Amino acid sequence: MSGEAFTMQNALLLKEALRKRKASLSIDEKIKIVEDLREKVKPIRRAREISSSRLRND
Amino acid sequence: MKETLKTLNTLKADGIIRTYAIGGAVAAFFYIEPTLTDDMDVFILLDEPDSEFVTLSPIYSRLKELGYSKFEKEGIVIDKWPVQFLPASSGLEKEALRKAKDEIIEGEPVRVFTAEYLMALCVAVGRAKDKIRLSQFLSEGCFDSTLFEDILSRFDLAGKWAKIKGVICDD
Repeated sequence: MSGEAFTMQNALLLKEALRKRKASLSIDEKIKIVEDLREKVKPIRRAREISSSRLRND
Repeated sequence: MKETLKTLNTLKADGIIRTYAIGGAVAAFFYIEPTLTDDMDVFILLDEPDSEFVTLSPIYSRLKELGYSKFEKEGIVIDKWPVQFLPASSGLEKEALRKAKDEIIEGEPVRVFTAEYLMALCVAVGRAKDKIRLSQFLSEGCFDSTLFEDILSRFDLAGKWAKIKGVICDD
């Protein structure tokens, strides 16, 4: 197996393990993750809204 | 989210809504990995079964009394969560509501759609995000396939599911 193929296989295994781990969290832990994520994307979304509003006004 | 759920239970206790169940992404969190979602879908049954027109005014009036009147997209914001109240209209939605299960989120009792009905609703709606969610349910294998197929068959969704499954299993 080439180094590149090995890395790719590892990445897929890691991704699958992470998916399983996230899926097996309790509902309260999942909600907490989503609420944190929502807070993190808020400024990005706001910036995007301002940017598209400026584009519309130009 | 605790305050959001408490408020839903207040609406029910006040008799504003007869019953409710959480659907959509928030309900899916019980079965699959969490993903970013903008709002909470709350399916409701109103005490006007024979009316062709459905009004959500009593809900919004009571929410205003409780201090919630800000809207974000299609939802009314209750403690940071925009909540979309969706009167159950199709046979599938009404059955999903009847068969919803009791759960607890952050200490609050709630009713939540089961995996099989969530999946059937994804098939019925069929948007790109519904297909992604269906593929997550398939990956988790967290549903009763006999029950799911029975729902699909009774609501004439088996053909649509076959097409969607062909696409998502091909990816």
